[in-house]
Amino acid sequence: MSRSYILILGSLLLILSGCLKEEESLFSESAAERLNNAISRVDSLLKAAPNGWEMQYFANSESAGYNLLVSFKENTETKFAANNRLFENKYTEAVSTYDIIGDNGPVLSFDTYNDVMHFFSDPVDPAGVGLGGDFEFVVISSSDSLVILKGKKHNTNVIMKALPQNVDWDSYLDSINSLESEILACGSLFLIDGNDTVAAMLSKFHVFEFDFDDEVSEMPFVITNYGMRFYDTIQTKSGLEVYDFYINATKDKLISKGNPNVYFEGPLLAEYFIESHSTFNVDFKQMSSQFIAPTEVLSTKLNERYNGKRNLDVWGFSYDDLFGNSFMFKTAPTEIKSDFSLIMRSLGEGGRELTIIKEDGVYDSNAEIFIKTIPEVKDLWEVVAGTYELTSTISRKSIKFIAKNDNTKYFVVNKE
Amino acid sequence: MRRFIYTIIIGITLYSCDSKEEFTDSIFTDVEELDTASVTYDFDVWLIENFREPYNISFKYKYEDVGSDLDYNLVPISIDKAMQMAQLVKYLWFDVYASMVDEDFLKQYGPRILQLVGSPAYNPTSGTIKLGEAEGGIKITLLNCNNFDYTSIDMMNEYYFKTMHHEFAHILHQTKSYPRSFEEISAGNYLPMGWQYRSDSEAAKLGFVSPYAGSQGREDFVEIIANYLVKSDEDWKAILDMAGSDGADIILVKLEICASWLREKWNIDIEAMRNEIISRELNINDDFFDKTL
Repeated sequence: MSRSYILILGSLLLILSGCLKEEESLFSESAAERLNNAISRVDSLLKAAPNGWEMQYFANSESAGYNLLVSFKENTETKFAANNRLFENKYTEAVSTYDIIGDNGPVLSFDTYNDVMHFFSDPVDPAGVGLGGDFEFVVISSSDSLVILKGKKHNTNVIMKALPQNVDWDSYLDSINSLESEILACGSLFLIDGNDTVAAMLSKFHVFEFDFDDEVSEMPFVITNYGMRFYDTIQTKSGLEVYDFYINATKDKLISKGNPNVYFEGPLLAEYFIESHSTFNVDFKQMSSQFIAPTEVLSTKLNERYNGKRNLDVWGFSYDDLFGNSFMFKTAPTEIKSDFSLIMRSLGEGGRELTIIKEDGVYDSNAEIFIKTIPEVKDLWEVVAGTYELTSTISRKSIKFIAKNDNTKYFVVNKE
Repeated sequence: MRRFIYTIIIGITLYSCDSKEEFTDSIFTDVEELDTASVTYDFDVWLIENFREPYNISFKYKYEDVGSDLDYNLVPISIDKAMQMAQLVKYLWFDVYASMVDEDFLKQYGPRILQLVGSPAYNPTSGTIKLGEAEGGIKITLLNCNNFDYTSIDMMNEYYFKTMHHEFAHILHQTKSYPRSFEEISAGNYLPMGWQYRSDSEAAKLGFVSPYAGSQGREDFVEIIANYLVKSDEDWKAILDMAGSDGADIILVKLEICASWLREKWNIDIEAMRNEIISRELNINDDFFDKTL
């Protein structure tokens, strides 16, 4: 009897549990259906961008960022384009295939070899690593304008932005390269946050080394069509976190998006002009009458002196080991360069004021000959002396000198 | 009566435990279903017609993470190379076995999956490069396929077809064992961890057709078969010459064991197969390839 009682009781318990309502699913679809729908949505979204995407690609968190352009077609074909040093600075396209597969979520896989995309992941003997990049990416989030990816093997963050419809790919990459040339021309920048200044040196291609007081740290970046974006945030001395910068209208600053008081600018102008030891040629089309007149006189006199066989090619400023900074001019056709010594001093704290002093009687042997035969050369040497306000873009490739006591007196030099 | 009541109770219990969920149609698509819109559709159809249907083999060239060795950094093969490799693999390998034995032989004993990978698998620790892999008789993976150059028969044989014969021989001996006496010939001379430091000459003098053959017995066995099948008379003689008389004698004894095993276990005449391969290789040039795939 007791055994029967136990059996009946146990059965009743089972029956009751079977009668209990099952837990309702939180989702109307199964996990597999949701994954398939997510895959389908991402696939449609990628193909829907009429002019493709700009992929800001980092192989890993320590390596340079590169711009790749990519498009996705209905027939699983994908096209990549790049124009950077990895491809001999030539516009390069490559076509292959892609797929959206399911893993823990949608994964964008470039599943046949592409000369552009897989350049970053092709292993190289003997380490078997190469540039260590990914070609399969977990789709973290997606919209019709922005897709955020994470490398499947190396967890590197990569983003894709939809390209504007009327943009030619070759021209677009050219414009980015031009902006890169502008931003990185000096090899160093300064990060300004209020009264704090941190030097940033290019330590490697597309990697800045920041010299904070107590540490030095590196951060890779990619050049964008508006400026520069770092792989990760940089914390300023005041604690602000910045990573995305746009170049301003006058192209003399890279300003942080979201923190406009934080910006990059180039080296102090006057110091840069004095210490770069570069040659700067005056732009004959960008100088005031105070310089045009003696320039034309010198040109005429050279022509006369050498029976029409020699003329003024350029004049400007250069550095000579013997004379230091100097006023110089070159004649053509066979180049003859003459150096006339100058003393240059940076004035003021802003680094934009420069005084130029003629060092009388100090010049090289070519200059000595010209002084004897064409004394008008001294007029040009003399007129460059003075105190100037300097302005330039962030590249410091072109600098405008405006006389401090006469703003109608100016000239522009271009770095050779 | 009691038994009747128990039966009712058990029946009710089982009914109440029964899930009330109704299954919907499966949402997984057939993995073999081709995407007719794909840019590779024609090639994919060709692969089915030339590998799956006659040989029951899934020929894979698109990268599959789950199908690759995650310990290595690998990249996929390019489509152009895949098309060339597929045609050559069929002509110089599968069709050879089909003609030498029969199509059902490969359906029964051949690999089920052939995977092409673009890059080699570099092992920086050992300083070696993996060119191929056979897994449990099911799958053969050929690596380094992006460096494939059909204009160089020697290169094709050394890096690809020798690898295929090598890996397939593994599959065969995993199905039907080779004589244990084979491994006794060079017992004591195998170096599983240091084989790569032997030169070709050192290995040959010990009776190994290659340094890798001197790693372990089963590699020795398949290397004899693979090398003999793909090497010309001149190249095979060069190995024997390098081995010297003692080394050559060892190699030839091993070859005889391999040839007997192939003949007795698989009805394969190694000499006839070798001649067929060499004959077909003479037909490989740019005109060989169907460029409409």
